[in-house]
Amino acid sequence: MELTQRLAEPLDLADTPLDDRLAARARNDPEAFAPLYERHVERVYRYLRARGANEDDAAELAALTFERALSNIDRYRPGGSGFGPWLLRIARNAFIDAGRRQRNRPLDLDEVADLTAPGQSPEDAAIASEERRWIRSLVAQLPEAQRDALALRFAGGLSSREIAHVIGKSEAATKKLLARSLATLKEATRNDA
Amino acid sequence: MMHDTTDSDLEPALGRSFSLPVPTFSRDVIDRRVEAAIARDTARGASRGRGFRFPRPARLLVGVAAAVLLTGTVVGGGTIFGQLVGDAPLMENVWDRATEINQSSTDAGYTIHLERAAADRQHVWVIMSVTAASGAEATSGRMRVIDANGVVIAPGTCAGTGDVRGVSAVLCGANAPAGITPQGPFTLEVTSVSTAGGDPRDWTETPGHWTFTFDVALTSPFNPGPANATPTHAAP
Repeated sequence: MELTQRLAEPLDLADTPLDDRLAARARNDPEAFAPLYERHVERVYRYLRARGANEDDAAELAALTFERALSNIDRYRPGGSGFGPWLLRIARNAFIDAGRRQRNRPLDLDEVADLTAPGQSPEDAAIASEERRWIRSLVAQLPEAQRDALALRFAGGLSSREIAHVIGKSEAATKKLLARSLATLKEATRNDA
Repeated sequence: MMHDTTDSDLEPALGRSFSLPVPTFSRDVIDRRVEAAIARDTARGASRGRGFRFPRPARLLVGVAAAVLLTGTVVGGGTIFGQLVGDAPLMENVWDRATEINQSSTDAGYTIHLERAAADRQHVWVIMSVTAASGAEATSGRMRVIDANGVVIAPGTCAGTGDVRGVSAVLCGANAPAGITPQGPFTLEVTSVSTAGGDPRDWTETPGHWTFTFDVALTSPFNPGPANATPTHAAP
């Protein structure tokens, strides 16, 4: 499958060995957890927002994610799939738990549309904002598993292998899921254009 | 609006769409929470290094247990926890308002007795005692509460009595996920107990399965009482 082969691995993967060293230190020195938090807070927050959490919920769930990670740091196994995927698995569980009674909640598209990058002209910002709104509205129509896979990939910055670990599927099945997600999304963009 | 997204620009567009910055006020919220968690863990210090479990029997309450042993004072009911709640406001508060469950489960040489339970809109409280067949000092370890909708309610504030005549008791408040009100019936799953070693830091964890199903009506929020009355433990 061409799409599967084309999925480039993210370039901004966390430095797993450093994460492992920090995690090992944090077992006995909780303050060593601070740099781990700094390294991963944005990806956790972005993932939760990509799943559809509004700003307040994403902040709450991100905080909960790091609280749980710190409390369970002894359960993190260095040398495995990495700290980032472990963290996003906690975030994913927190999101699922929190969402059980808030299903079918619409994405907070207005907030997304208002975001602008530093240095952007108003016109560029408007175009970018419109693009975000459009893409996210299309993603929101995908099945849950596909939305989750795309959020882990493009907001969490995980590789297929790491996503497989988070969602509990094989790497091959995860690649197929991602390819299917992108194919569905591509079709949606054509139909919507 | 016309969107001319092609194969080659779909993935970059996805990346841009999900590259949301963390708003300053959101970052402040997260920072404060994580800083507080680190500070709590730092203060707790020696309890780390052997996998998460409930705190060891609370040092502050060992005095209470000792007083019971020395004076024979009995406060509350006839069970061990009932004898120990008198000088601990949180425990007394929860104990008094909790529903008697009285279920026992034995596995791996340890008997856990779920004495009472209570729930408010944010927590489920369970009060358990642990007895080791070997007579060793033991306390409950990993646990979780699952409500009727399958929501996992993580362990939160805990306090223990210490070992008293071969039995220890622990009170734990499990925190419901944000925005979710716990609904019974509840399932309490304890998956390990911790046993004391010679060194205070050298506790060992014994896996097992102790499961309890119970139902309690939601009450008004508990007043935890004076902060220094019971040690607390923040857990997932």
